[in-house]
Amino acid sequence: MNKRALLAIPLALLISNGAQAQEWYWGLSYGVASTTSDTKDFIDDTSWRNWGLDILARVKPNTAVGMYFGWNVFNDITQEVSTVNNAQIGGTQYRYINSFPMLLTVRQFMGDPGGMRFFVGGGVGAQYDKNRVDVGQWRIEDNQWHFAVAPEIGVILPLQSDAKWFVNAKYDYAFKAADRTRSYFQLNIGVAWQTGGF
Amino acid sequence: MQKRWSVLPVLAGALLLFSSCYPGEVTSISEIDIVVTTHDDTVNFQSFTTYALADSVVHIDFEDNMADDLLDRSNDALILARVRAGIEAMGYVEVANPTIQPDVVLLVGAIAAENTAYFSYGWWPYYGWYPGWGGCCYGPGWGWGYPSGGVGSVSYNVGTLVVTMLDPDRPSDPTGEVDLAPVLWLAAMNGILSGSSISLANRITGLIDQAYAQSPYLNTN
Repeated sequence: MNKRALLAIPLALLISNGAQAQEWYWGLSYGVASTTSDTKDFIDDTSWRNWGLDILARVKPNTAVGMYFGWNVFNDITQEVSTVNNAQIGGTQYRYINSFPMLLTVRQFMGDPGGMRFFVGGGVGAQYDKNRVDVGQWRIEDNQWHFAVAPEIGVILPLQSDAKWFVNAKYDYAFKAADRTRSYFQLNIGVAWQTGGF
Repeated sequence: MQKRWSVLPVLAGALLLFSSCYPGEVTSISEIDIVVTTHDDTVNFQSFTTYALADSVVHIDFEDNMADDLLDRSNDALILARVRAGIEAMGYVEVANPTIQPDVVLLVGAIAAENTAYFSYGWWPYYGWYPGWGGCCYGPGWGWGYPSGGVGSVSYNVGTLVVTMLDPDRPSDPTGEVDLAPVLWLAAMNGILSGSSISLANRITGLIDQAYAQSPYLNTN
């Protein structure tokens, strides 16, 4: 399945089921994230600086589609010697990634509306990563757009009539661009406000 | 039931507490020291056994005697001793007799510069005018002054120690028209010239050691 087809799924669901789209779900999350793969090679960090905003509209009794905006900050301090061409650069390096996934999402809920509900879902879209290295009195910035996907599982718990708790686990994977991927696991907790029977 | 909403201030507090794009900034001046080394990768350093070290640190001036103004010679002996110890740890033997040509020659130089960084405090007008300060400007008692442009500056001195390894037998120009010895290895150690003399000496020592540590190809042992 190509990238355009992946992007089209949540859009098609949203458009084809517009009549039921008055039921909304807004979720704010905070969590912990840990880098993997190429990202871990650059910054080995378990970060407590992760926030997310989910906006979902119910399009079928147990299906919602929407958007996700995230902000994940990773940093590391290393004495690693870097090699650039034929030069070795030694010194304290301050490395940072500010990652901003912006995804179209779809979620499938299980269980009865109003109660505890498990869900599986995922997002597909763009991710903008600001990569920075400070070494000595120099700063190297290298910002990059990626195509990204983010499968997730989670659970919604009742809080009040229009409010929910939720917990989710997500794997954010940004495909290769500029010779690198970006990926990290997230475990989030959040609160959601909703209308209708999420 | 209302008690459950305590999650909101917790989330808001977490957001404020950790809402930094770039956490873990520099905490000491030594953390912005840097060592850059490079070498001629066509050279087999294992073929060398002897070296000579210049007996002084040359102040390299690009303008207005700045190196002489900003650098003193209190650490010259330390610098030369550390460069010597480092190259000998790599297996090179010093040639003490000036009539014998060494395989390589080490030269040590120092460069200094005054850098000026500019910063903006353009947020100031957003507070609006506070009449309690009276008048339009800070008085002379402030000394430091606020220029009308909303921009301040700070100056700091930067030093770079350069160690160069040359092969006296190897002409740099195949035509022989240019009489310059080729560079086999170069280490540049850069940092801000600040701190106590002990701190500066420790930083210099660490930087020279780091230059050798990140150049294992020099090792002839």
